[in-house]
Amino acid sequence: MGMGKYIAQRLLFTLFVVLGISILIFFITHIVGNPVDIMLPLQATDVEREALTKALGLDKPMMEQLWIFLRDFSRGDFGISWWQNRPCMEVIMDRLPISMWLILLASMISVVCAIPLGILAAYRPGSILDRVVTIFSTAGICFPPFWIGLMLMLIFAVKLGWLPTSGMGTWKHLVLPAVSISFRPMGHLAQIVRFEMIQQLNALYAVTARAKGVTEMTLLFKHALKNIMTASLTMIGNDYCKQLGGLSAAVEVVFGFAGFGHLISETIENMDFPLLQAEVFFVAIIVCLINLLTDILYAAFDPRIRY
Amino acid sequence: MEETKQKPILSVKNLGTSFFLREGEVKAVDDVSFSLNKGECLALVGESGSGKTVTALSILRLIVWPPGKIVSGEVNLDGVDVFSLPMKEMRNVRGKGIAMILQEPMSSLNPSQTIGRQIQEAVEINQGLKGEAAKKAAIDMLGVVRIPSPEKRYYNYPHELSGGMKQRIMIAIALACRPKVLIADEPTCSLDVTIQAQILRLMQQLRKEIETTILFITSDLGIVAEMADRVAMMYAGQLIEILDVYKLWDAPAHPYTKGIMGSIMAMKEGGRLSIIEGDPPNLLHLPSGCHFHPRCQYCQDICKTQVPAYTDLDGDGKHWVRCHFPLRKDK
Repeated sequence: MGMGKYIAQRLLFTLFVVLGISILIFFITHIVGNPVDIMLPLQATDVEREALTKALGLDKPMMEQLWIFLRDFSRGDFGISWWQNRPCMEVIMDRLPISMWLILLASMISVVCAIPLGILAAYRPGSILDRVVTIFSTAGICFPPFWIGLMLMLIFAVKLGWLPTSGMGTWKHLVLPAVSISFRPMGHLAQIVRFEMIQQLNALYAVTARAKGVTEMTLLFKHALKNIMTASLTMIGNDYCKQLGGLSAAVEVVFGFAGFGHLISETIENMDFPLLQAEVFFVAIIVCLINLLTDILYAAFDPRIRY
Repeated sequence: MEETKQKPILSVKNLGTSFFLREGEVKAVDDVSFSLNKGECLALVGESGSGKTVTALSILRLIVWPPGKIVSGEVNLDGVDVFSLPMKEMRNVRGKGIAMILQEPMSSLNPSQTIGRQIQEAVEINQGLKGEAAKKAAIDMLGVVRIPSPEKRYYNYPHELSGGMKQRIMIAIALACRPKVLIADEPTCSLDVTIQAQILRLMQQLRKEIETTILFITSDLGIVAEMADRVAMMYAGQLIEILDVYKLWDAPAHPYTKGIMGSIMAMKEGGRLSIIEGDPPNLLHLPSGCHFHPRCQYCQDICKTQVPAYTDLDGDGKHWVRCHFPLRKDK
């Protein structure tokens, strides 16, 4: 199967996933409760209630509502945000791209640090260096990112004054939140890299390579590194999706960063269902696309995978 | 254990390698000595778990600590004391000095690199060639191991090749190192019989063409007869007998060797299959004295307490045996 055909197939599959998620979103909002009750004050009259029900189209049969819902979604019309009183699409477009950049930066930081750390640890399993890396990566996973954020802010913004404490606008505003977010994926990735690397260095092909006179450095970087990439990519993609799906919220709040994670938490606070629907929809699409991207990248590293 | 006259190209003296497990020390290789003369093929024979592969890996210092460790002995390759070299200089021994063919061709190649690159790497490291010249040499090696259309196969990945083809690639990698000594660790054991025959024929042809010295590890006595000049028998981590290959059928001196040969001879003559009673020993709880004594029909009291030393049976340094009561033909 050709690469193009594979991508087309996967995109089609993504379409089905998105459709399924849209239908799920539709039913979940209907299970949660009557939006009219949430939107109107308690003392609203029946006339007011009926008017709103009609305006929202809630008086129509369920199947028709679903049809309208899907039709609007496919057009990129996610309705009006109750809380901000403007189209949901607009709200999301204000907040999503900056967070995607922020988390991408965090991912890059974590990859750049985690791969060397994991390799160092795997090079001599059980050594002091290995233990230091293990403790560091476990700490990275365990410490809450917002706490790390606060500490970084205290040191680099308050004490040293190198970087702004909060807000957004320049690249400098991205640094501290990105570093705070990067700790958890860094810990995960370093542990995966360590584990995978130990497997590779004990593989039979490593004996073959050493027996022909290959140095440990060549073995690590020319042979083994490529073989640990599939597992690492899975982890990197996974962590990116998790962060974008709301994990980054606490850090964004700490740094007063008006990003997507922050938006999700605000949306929930304000019980803004149309906006929440749209957010879930966007996260779903991004998760699908990132999975597609990692699947395509697998082929670049593992010749046994051919599409 | 010195061979007379000729100076051996590889000599192993009192090699001991142990694995330190939670249950205790496993002496996988214990006081093994042998030597190889230039151009000859020595077969290292023994049942699985007798320490053949560990011996080979020890010679190349490829034992991984933990849990494995070389605890004693010395290896001399063409005048170089291998065990005293710093690790950095080991890569001059590995490849150029001693190359190795592993027993599992299926998993002994890097899955994410073309076979051509993997051969070329051996060429670059050990022949000092670079770029196009190295590539040409790698393609030539594919031809040497009789891979059809080598220019195309150069770009294949291991998973695109059959088991027999992969073993040819392993041989090509080993030969591309231009080694002084080639260690072949059961190169045919995971292949089916017809492919086994092909690989063996290839190795015999190559042996004639390039006159390498070979340490051939196997548990198949049929292969021994075809390939080897001399035979070294291993049992429970120890080398128990070294002799010329024709003597193996004629005059084995160790009861274990005789037992094994007896079982083959009986099969050939259509008689009853003679067997060696009992099981191979557990390396964690080795029998005292001679490790073979619980299974030996000639066992005396001394065998139970004292480890036998090497005896030069004929006084000419050609036939060594580790037994208190070696069998002699005239007896």
